[in-house]
Amino acid sequence: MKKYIVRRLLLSLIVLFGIIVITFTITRVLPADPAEKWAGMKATPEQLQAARIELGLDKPLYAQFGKYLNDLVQGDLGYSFQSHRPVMDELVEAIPPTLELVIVAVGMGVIIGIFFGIYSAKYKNKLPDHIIRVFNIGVVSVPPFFSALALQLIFYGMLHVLPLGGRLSTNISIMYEIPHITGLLILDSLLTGNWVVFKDALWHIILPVIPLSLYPAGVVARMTRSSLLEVLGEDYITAERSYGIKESFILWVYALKNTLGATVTVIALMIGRMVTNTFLIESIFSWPGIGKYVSEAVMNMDYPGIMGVTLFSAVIYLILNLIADLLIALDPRIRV
Amino acid sequence: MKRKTWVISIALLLVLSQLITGCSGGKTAATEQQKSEQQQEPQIAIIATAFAPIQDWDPAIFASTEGMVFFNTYETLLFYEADTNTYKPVLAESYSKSDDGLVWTFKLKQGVKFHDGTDFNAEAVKFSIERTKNYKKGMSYIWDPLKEAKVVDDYTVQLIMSQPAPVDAMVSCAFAAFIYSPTAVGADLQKGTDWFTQGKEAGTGPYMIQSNVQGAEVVLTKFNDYWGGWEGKHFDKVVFKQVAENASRRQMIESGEADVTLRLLPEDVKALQANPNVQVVLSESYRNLFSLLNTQKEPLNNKLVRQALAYSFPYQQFIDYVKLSQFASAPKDTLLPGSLWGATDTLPYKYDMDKAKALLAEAGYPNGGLKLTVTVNGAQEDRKKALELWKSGLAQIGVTLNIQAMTSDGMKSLSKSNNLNERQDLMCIGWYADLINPMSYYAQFVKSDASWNKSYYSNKEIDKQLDEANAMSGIDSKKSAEMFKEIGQKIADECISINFGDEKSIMLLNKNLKGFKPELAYPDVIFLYDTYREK
Repeated sequence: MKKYIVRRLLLSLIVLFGIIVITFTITRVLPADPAEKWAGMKATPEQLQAARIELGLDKPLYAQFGKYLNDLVQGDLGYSFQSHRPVMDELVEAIPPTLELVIVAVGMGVIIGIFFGIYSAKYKNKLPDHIIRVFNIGVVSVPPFFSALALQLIFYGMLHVLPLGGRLSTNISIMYEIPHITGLLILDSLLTGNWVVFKDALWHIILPVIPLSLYPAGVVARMTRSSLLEVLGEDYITAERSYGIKESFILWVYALKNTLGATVTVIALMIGRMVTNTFLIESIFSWPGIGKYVSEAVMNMDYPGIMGVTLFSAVIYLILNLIADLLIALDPRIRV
Repeated sequence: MKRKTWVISIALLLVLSQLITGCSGGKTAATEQQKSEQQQEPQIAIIATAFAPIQDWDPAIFASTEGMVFFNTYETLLFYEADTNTYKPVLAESYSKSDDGLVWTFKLKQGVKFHDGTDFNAEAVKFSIERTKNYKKGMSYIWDPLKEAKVVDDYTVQLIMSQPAPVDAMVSCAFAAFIYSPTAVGADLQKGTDWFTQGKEAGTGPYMIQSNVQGAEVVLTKFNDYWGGWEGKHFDKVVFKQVAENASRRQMIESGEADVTLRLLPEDVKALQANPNVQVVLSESYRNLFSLLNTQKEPLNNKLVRQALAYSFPYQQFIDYVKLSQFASAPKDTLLPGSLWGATDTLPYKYDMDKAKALLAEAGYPNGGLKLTVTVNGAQEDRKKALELWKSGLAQIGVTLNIQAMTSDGMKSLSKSNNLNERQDLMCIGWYADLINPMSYYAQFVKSDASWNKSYYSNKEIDKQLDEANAMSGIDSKKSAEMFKEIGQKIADECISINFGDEKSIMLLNKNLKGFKPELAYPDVIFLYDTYREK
């Protein structure tokens, strides 16, 4: 087992290095002068030359790459061209809001998905099953930004029930001390017992989470349904029934446990995918997360920012892949 | 099983109802707390911005839209009032200059404090200006002619130039001219910036930063010791929120959730003009849209062809169809915005297709047969529309205009291509005056070797005349204006650029927001100290 983990970690590091080389090369090959970005649109030729030296652009490519690697190992991701702030600081600020969104969305999606999957399997080929299966296909097909805009129009524009966007109401964010421990507002306010902020944060996360949770819900529902149907056909289930164990117990405890293996793997990969695909939702709801950060970095050609987010995404993917593989390995039915 | 389902569902409903009532209960608790804390509810202004309120926190190097926030937390020595073409006192009560325009003496206001509690004085002015100049980033180049800032006494400072320069324009500039506290910032440049980028500011303005969420929201609160005092109606707090989606910003201003917003599409603005809840304020600006013509490449190396193009542009149609008749005004100068002093009074070209055809014939292209490429920033819809309009007109005189939408970087890269034939024929650019002086355009687009001189025009005589006119602006501004006008007429005759039109500034306000006056030299800035909400 240990050997397996070590081997996977080494592989991940090699993949990470490959990604670093590729992104570094791309940013140096594109038709844009980082010095101009750094110095600004109205920079004089002297300012441009000074910027070039400051950014190390006058050195040969391999020297630039060496310096980049050296900084990276020390946790220095460079300075953003836009804000002249360390990219690491900006990422540390931008990651928690996205994490909060993704965790809540995936959590909601998984819970709904499992419920739907179980009912779908239980009432196989009857009306509930058909309704749920239509729902699954529907939510996977509808683009999240479309549902987001529609929800915003209905619940804010017409009904005035939910807020337009942002993480907190302006009044609350001004008048109250906002707790900051992990950066996940809902968690932090729970930990500090700040109920006003907790409720406000919850109220604000509802609209953005709904479009994001649809895809996980659909996928998990389908997967749960199919693996449950497979498990329910097994001999030991028949044996449990013959022992007189209650049907609901069999369904919700014994059978479900055996379906979770594959589902959990898919969920892990889904989280990785979602963390880097929230930019449309974040843009629509003015959610200050990684998605919004990277979309602005791309539009402004802010290379350090883009590279920082690319590396972060790569690391997250690799970690989640590793977790997914380890979870599979935990299943005693599978020999590693 | 059925009973269990019921129990679980009821439990969930109970929890949900708790949350809902809890939410509204929470809100009333909040307002009660607010009410007990303060005598009356604080007046809060909410501004929905399209971009992040502050990207660069250091006032020495910011060069973007930060002015919206900074002009409420920082102040300059003087203020340029475009309507009267005069400089009003802010942190400097009065000023005088030597006859040769090299020594400018400023008498400073007394009793002014920085937000960190330290005194505003001549040392602070010297520190701020010299630090900004030495940083050599952002718009600090406006201070290039400065030789030394000298402290004469606590409230008198002299700015000594190495050559005559428009110091009044420099100290009132929308960029690189703020005075900030030496105590807060310190001597080391990078450490100073690191202090600023924590979300701090060190100004003298009426508001100070209460909190900020980087890239999303900035909250200002009033500075109690502001020298202007707080008599009368003022906002207590101001919130700048970034709302990137056009549709969201529009919903916010319509619902009244935002007091101010800007950068909506022309169609949205037109619709909001009919909305009684919204005031749409249009004003002149120093922003315009123009195309630079490649004077080094055939066929535009022929002046007659360039002039033919100038006669072929549909100036009025551009304003009517692209700018919906009200969001731009007709150009008066081939390069500068008409409201900028030193611009020519009338454009020597007007829409005249017969004249265009005749000039083409004279140049040796009686049937047209020309193929021209124009590069434009693909993200700018109105620029693309303008070019499409022009393209259809040009087709009638046998000129094919090929529109290449690219990124700004792509455009620049192409313009620097070593293969001269690969370079564009025309480049469509939007620009604005940072220093209120014609040099903010001429130094970038007309002078030989200027970084944005994408017409590749080089005339040493004109370079010299421009330098002389610029130097004169520090001595006798009237004479300087005349000199610039003369140069403008020569440049117009050379026809190296075609000015599409001067854009108008658009500000959308809630109907109850009073006291706002748009200022050309400070685009998109609301001096919130002067505004208030009327019920």
